[in-house]
Amino acid sequence: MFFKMAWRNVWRNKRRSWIIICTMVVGLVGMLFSLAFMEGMMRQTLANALGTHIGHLEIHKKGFENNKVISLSLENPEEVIQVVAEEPGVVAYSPRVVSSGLISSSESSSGITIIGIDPPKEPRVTTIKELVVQGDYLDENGAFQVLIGQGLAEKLKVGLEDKIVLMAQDLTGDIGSGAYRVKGIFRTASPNFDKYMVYLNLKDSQKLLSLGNRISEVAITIDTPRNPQAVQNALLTRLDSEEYEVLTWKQIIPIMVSQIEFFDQFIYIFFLVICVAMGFGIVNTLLMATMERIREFGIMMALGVRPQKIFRLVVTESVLLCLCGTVLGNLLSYLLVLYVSQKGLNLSIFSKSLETFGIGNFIYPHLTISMVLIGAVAVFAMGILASLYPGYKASRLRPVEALRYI
Amino acid sequence: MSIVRTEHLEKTYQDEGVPVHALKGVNLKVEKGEFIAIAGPSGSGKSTLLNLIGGLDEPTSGKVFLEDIDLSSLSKGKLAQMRLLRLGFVFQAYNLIPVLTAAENVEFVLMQQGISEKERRKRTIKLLEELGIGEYADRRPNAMSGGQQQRVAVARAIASEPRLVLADEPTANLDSETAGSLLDLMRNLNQTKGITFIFSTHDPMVMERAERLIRLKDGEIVVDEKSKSEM
Repeated sequence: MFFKMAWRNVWRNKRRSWIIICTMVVGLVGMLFSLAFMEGMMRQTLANALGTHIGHLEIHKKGFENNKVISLSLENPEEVIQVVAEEPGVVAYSPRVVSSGLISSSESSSGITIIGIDPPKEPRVTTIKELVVQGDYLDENGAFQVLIGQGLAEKLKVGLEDKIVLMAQDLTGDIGSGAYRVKGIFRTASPNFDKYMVYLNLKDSQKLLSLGNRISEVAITIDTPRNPQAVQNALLTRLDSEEYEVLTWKQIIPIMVSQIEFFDQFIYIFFLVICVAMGFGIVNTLLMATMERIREFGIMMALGVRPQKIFRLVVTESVLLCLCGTVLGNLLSYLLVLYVSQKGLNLSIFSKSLETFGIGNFIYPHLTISMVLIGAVAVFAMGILASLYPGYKASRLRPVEALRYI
Repeated sequence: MSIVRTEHLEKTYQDEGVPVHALKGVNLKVEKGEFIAIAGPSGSGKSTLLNLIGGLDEPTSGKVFLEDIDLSSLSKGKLAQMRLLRLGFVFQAYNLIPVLTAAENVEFVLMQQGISEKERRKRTIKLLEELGIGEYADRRPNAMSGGQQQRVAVARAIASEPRLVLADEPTANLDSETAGSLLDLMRNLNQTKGITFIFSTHDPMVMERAERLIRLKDGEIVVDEKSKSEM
């Protein structure tokens, strides 16, 4: 009956209760949508950074990350690949050659990064195959083919099947060069990436750079990308740490970790501001509702209801209000995020800024269970906090004065 | 053992800085099973006396004993428990809880006593039927007449089987016929269940039916007499 009474009290003044529920719903939708938007943006940034080139883990010859020269290449790639293939946390891997070089067309030339890949293996680690917008991805055994970015194609003024020349310093210190045809043109969310990355078959790159069967790195996809340390440690125990470096994406792109931390902190500040604003609204409403019922509290006290129970009644009413607000707020947030995440939020007017973060013009918000829980806990905590003062006031009334109250 | 005893009971209010002596040393003894009316003009201290006996207010000086328990020695919580278990209140303005139905208003007190839901319901329905308002059990106060509401208030007051019911001008808002039937009801409960009733009233009919009439004037008892029929 206690809950029934609290529930009926909530709906005594329907308009007022709806106003406060709407305040909570708007606040919660604002909070959750912002959180989902940030999460979506982070996921896209991460997916674009990791998806296009960087593996969740990468194994190099020690020192390669700081000095990307082909002399620091893996001499026994089979040994490394065997360790990687046997590690249970590894989902896929791709051997690569990475070197700086020069690309030239009949029109222009540009400094670039040459990336030799194993065509069937690379799509299991990155999305480069899906990012080809013109022509085709590299053939498994196709020689003298390259994939270039759209930005680079425009700069070199080349199209599909056009001839380009790659030049780079090989392992012996001589300049190696070769002529290739543009097999495909890709476009990623990062225009910079599209200007500087050139893909070719692993064997072609080894030939161009006189590497024999050496490779520069093994890029690895794991089943726990957000927590790559466990697999990193497992690999480190089996590989000679004097010879190899096993790096997580967090070590390779620390700026991304800073970005995620920044957004996480930002969202908590945002949460706090919205909660405080909502809290004042609820305190105000509950105080009004409490002051209106002083006489009723006096009756209850006269009947022998203990002050603690009156306090609990006011808090319960607030909790019930918050429950309505949370259920409706979560439902609306879910529907809104569902709708927007299917279509994507077009932010092309901010495209320049978005490029900085390595994301495209469309943001796809992503709502997780933990966000819903955080939102619910925040609203509940705020509701309970906001009801403490009105509850205290009601429980401290003197029965005789409360009964005289009109 | 008296059910109520007051000793030199005084109550002084401050009205915009001016002291108002509502009660001036009231000594009163009420025995179990009495049916008492406290009469007097407005401001004579009737309601103040009831509030002090019910532990709703604290005296400026003097003491109130309820079954020999000194109310001033009890904490807020203990006072609440005392009201819950030993006292019933009936107010002039009925004072039912508006969000609860008639039956729920009665059950509310029983719930506070920790009585099981099944037992509560059984006792409530029986009581409402005894008081002639069984058919209104599921109505909310705003869907009942004043007389019906006051009967529910009486049912609520006696549901917990208290030793004493304090009624502050219970018939003031009722027409004479309804007031008469309510008084009959309370007198009947007094006689059959042995519940002690103390009313404050202006109503000559209430005074007439009381077995003991106490008149207050300016915070002092000026008349304390048993009715002729009781003598």
